[in-house]
Amino acid sequence: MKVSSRILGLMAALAAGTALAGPPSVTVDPNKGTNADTVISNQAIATYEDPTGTPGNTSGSVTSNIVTTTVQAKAAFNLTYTTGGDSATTSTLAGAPAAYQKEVVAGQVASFEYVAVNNGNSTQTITLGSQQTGGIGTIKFYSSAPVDPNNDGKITGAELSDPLNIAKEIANNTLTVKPQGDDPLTDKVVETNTGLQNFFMVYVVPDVAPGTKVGATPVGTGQVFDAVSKTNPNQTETASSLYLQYNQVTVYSPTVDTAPPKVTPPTTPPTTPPGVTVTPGTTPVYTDPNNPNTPILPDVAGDVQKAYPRSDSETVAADSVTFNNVVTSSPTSPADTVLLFPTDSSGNPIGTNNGDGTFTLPGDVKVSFGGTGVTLVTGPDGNKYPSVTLPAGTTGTTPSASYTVTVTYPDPDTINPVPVTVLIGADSSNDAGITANGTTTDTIYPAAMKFGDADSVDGSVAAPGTVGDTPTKSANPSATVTFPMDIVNPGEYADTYTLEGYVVVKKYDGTYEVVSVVYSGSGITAGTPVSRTVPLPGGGTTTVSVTPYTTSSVSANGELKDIQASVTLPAGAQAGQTLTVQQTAKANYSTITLTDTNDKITVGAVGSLTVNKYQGVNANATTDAAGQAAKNVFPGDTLKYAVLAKNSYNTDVKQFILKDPNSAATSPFSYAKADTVTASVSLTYDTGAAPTTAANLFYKLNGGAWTAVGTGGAITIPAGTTVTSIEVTSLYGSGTPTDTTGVLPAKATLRLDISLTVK
Amino acid sequence: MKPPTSLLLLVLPGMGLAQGAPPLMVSLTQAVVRTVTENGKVTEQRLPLPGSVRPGDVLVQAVTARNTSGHALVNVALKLPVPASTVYLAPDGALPQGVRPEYSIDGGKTFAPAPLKRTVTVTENGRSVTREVEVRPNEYQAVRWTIATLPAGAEQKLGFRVQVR
Repeated sequence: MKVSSRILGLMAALAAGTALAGPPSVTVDPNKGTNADTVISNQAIATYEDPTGTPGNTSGSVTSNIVTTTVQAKAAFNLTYTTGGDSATTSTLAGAPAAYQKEVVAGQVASFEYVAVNNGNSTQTITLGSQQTGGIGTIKFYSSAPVDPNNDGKITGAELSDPLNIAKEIANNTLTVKPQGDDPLTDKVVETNTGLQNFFMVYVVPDVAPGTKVGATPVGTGQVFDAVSKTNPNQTETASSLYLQYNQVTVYSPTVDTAPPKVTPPTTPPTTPPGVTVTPGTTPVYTDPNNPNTPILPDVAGDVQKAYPRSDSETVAADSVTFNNVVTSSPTSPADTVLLFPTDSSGNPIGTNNGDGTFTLPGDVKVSFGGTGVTLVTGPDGNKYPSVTLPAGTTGTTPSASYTVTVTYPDPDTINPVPVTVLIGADSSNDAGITANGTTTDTIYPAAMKFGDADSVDGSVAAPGTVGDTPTKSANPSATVTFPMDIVNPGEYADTYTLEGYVVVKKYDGTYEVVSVVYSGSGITAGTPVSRTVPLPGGGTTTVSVTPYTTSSVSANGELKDIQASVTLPAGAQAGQTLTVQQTAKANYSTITLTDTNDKITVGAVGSLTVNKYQGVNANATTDAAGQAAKNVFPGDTLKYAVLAKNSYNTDVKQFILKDPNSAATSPFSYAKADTVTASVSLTYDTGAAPTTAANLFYKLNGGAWTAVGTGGAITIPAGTTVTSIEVTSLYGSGTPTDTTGVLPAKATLRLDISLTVK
Repeated sequence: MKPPTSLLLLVLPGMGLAQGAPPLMVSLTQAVVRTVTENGKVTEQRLPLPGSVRPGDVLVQAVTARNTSGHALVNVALKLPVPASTVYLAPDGALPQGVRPEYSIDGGKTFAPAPLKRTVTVTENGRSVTREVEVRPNEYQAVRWTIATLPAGAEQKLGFRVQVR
């Protein structure tokens, strides 16, 4: 907001109206005549030769009578400039002489000194009237120049109500001016009256457009001798008779303005958010003097600056941006102390003035001013304001001064922020009051972010644990599980985001595999894998390669919905575990980083437990269909059995015991010749499925105690033992199983070989 | 009313020196002269006993001296000051035979016939030069008419015009 105005010369002396230093140079009419009431008297004396005396004497002496006559009034007067020269020309506004032309700010007081001249020989009673052009209100006449009670160099209309100024008002607007010279009515005193009386015309300059010329003239009514009637009736000055004496004021407004700085467009500009285009060498941009990561774009033509601060990695303390601004006047401006403050759209100070150069605005926004040359002064309203000083302008030079504006605002990261807009005003001290003559706008676009499970509402993500948020999904090994995610950008500038995720999966072989989350969706592209160190549930860490994904630009107050976060479980994933999907989304410009860890995958069990028994006669059993066919034996033949228990699940089968026979009714041992039963047990794993630590095998003979067999081997059957049952199981670690703690490891085959001779 | 200084010297009892009635009677009159235009002709009017005048008005003040004795009086000198607040214009009327007018520019102390001279010192070409200049009538401060012989019973009237400043 710039206010157009006329330019002024030196302001200080003119605003108050100057009182002349010496006596006026107007002279009373030299032909005014002898003052009225003077008595002219005369007497003659004759001398003669006294005939009774010596011839030639002159001692005879006789006086005549005295004749007297009294001088009457022959009145005349004029009101004029202190330098005289009123004429038909000066009877109009345009004809005001140069010494009676001023530039005064609207609302301030203009005062002009005049002189009433008694050009006659009698006391004048002159009534002071006036004529004005341009909408001047009340015109007052003072006996001496108006004063400036608050001493701020400007006299305002309000200050004319000060008792000091009221005391100067000429009573009844009437002057009494004695004629020049002696007053014949005073007997013993010889006066030297001047016949002149100075006075001041005082008025408030009306609030009209700067550059408008206004003015007024005193119009005197006094006594003027009329030769026809021989009386001294009242006569009023006119433009053609006795003339008027116009003064002229050009209404003025100081040309103070404030604006963004002119910045040389850098060839290597700072980074700006997506959508904020900065062309190297063309777009003006600078960085916050207190924060090189905040670019600020000054638009001098648009009188606005835009700042794009990043997040500062914490969310509690208020954030701030510091702008550079300039204040200027004009080549014809006088020196000025310019006050700085935040304003409303009308240029009035806004917010709470904290008295220390800072201001608090609604919304918990605080504005402070800084820079070398910025000092705290007391404004015309008695409050303290930051200010800069401008020297007087010279031809071809526009005075200017720099200052900074620091805007502090609540941390925006986790809220739905709006742009922080502050209107900064600059107020000249050369005009009355505290209204900005020019303003400029400093705007901050804060960033914010939300990331979480998708919901159906725009602008939000599902809060963990709420209805509709089902972040736990079940999946079997090798299956792919997908979680829809939302990224919301409640901030005020567009941004792109980088997504990364992983899941630490325990496999049934005891090892961990870290699976990288695959993100897909509109505008999402995979990037180059990065190395991440990931903690393992059992302690320790592992370094893995995780693929980051980049989204396209999400507009301010926009949202990227239904991002698909997919996890493909490894084939060896152990059933029964609950996996946590660790997701991180980072805003690439604002650097806000959010995590989501409430999405979980429970691994299902896939597989079966099968037990197959094979038999061979006088030969090893074949573990095929032939081995399961019925066979014939003769007493004395050797029966060889192979019992294979296979756990094809992706998890250990617990509480496992393999028992042969299942029941006494089907036991082959009852047909065994004494001391011919042998048995052995072994544990094998599918290819690639061997655990890191092998399980130990145990057997129980005839329901006795569990006995270790290491990782496999013969089952000891003491001589003379009648075998009724053999049980086998396995166990990890160094302990001994109980009837409930034995396991058949995942992907393991437990083989019990039994041989006996048929009796 | 402030009497002019010069008059203080003139308020003298007229009977101080002579025995009996003085042989000379002196009376002073004044009138205002107005110029009027009647039927296109400009004429003068004299309005006697002007109680009041205005600056610019022309006053005629005339002294009438009458020899009330039985024998002629010689060297009758009539002195009339130019009153304060007025300026001498001219004699009123033609000067009669046997009357010698003289003028004073020193307040009535000394008189001399016209033209009176005064010396002035001026600077010409950087040097002080003394010159004699003629005194103008508007500088006269008093007039003295000397009647050589006023016969017994005879009357002589002499006056001047002054303008109220």
